[in-house]
Amino acid sequence: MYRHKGKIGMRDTKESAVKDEEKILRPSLLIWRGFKRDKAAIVGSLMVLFILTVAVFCPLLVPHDPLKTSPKDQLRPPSSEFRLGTDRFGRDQLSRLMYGTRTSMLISFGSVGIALLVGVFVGLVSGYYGRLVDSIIMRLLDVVFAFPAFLLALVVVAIAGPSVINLLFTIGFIFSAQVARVTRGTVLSVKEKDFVEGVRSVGAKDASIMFYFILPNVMAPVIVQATFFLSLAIQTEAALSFLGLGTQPPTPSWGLMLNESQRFMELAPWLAIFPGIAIIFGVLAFNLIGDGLRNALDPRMSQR
Amino acid sequence: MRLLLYIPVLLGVSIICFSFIHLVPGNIVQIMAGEVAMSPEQEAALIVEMGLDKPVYIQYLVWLSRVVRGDFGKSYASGLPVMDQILRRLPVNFELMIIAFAFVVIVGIFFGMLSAAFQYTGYDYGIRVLAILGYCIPNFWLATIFVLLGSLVFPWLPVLEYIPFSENPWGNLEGMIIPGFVLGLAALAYVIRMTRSSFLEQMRQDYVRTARAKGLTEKLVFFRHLTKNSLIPVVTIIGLQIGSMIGGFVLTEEVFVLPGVGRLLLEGIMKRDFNIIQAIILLLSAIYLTVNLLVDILYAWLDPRIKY
Repeated sequence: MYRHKGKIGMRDTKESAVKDEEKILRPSLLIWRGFKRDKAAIVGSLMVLFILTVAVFCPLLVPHDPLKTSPKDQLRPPSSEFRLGTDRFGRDQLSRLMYGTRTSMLISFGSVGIALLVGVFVGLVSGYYGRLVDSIIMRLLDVVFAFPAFLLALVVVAIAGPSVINLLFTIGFIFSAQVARVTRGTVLSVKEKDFVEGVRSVGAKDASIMFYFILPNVMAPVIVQATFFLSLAIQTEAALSFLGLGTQPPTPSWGLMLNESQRFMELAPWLAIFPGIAIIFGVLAFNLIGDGLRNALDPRMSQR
Repeated sequence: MRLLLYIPVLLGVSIICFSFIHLVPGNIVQIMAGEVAMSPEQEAALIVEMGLDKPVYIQYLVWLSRVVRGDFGKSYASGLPVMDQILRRLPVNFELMIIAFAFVVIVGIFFGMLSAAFQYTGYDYGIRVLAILGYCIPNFWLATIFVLLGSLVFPWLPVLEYIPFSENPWGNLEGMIIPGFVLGLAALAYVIRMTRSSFLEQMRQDYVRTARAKGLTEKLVFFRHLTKNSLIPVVTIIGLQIGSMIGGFVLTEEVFVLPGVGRLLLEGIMKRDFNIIQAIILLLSAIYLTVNLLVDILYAWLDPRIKY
């Protein structure tokens, strides 16, 4: 079932001339139903909602100032005043964890956004025009794929300097290669469909075919991949920050908090535990949604 | 055919590795000299010595010619030849990779099959939950937790200290088994999931029904027919996961303090030692590329429908 964004001389297939009593099984309805049925996906969605709420409203929810140092309260275990303890500067861990959510969300959504913009565009062009353009782009992508992803990110960030912008672009760029590959694959199959030829024969230009007709039908697997990349981005940012090559102090970020906890593991083990749990939570949330989406979008008729 | 494509990609990789040193913003000579103030003559001399005065493509060819002979130059930080340093540390990584690979292949495929065979039972759900957690846990955090547990809580866990194999084989294994496990955990989780879904998919195929109708026992059906076909996509996944394990070297070695190539790379990055960075990235990428090539060949051999 393919979606036409505009009218091609006939009525939009979404609102066909059927009465409301026989509800047409629109693809979006099917997907939503499939998604709702998957309990894990629901749990994941709630988790993501929780994370986003924290990320957006943390200034209001935070018990202490995450940047405020307090020499007299260094390395305190969890207490009623400092729910998750303090670090070596006396900063409240809970507040830092909350603000860290913001950092993680910023970097993951930002880098995946970049990856989608670049990747989908490249994939569309490569798949649609085919032949020489396609070959060249695929070879270039092959070179990117030859590098173990984390090492590439490591070196690029190391060379360009650790900063949020560099992180965004590096992670985004590496992901965009994968997005491009997936997009191209789907484009290759979609462009053979009859409606494309139909539209072309009426005189549609290349660009409009690509963006108006092919793109909406290609988005499904891309969205699924994007959710998985969100969780991967959280992990990558945390790993880079852990090594000292990601977010820099005093910005609160989960990976950085783990880095700072390394030196005081025997004195203050709680510092090492909670940021990790936060990371697991975030990664799990997006993975569950991704799984749910993938299962819902997969045209499986007989089995769950 | 695939082999032909391999070479330009490898060249492309080498070009990128080579270009790292030139993409650094700022005056490269000054960065590498560190805080040592240099007079213009000293700078000029250093530039000639490093060959930076020649045009870029000549520099690349010179570099390439040295590299294929195994000469990666000297480390700026220590003055020692880069290749020697790498070779000394490589066995550690090799061992880590073997342990992780063993976990991934043996435990992964086993539990994946188990999960598929007992679908919908408690075992299945349990294994699936553990698998999902497996790739959600950041491996450097897990490593930290193991170190914490080892030192504070459970003294009977294998000692997390690196002892060279030549000194004490058993101690060496003791020290490497947990790092190997941590390195392979994410890959293990993916392999379990992939094996399970692949087996399940095959189980619905017609030929399985045929085999059962013929009267073959469940066991026979499972092992003779299903396994070979189901493992094909798993092989691909394993190949990809080796890449993420190679990436994981750095983190695992850092937390467990192992003298491997990953930590060497990290040191090189911290000290701006570009010879080391170039060399390690090039080597690791080449290895990854080769592994993927082998996986593709293996895949083509396993699946008679694929022709190259």
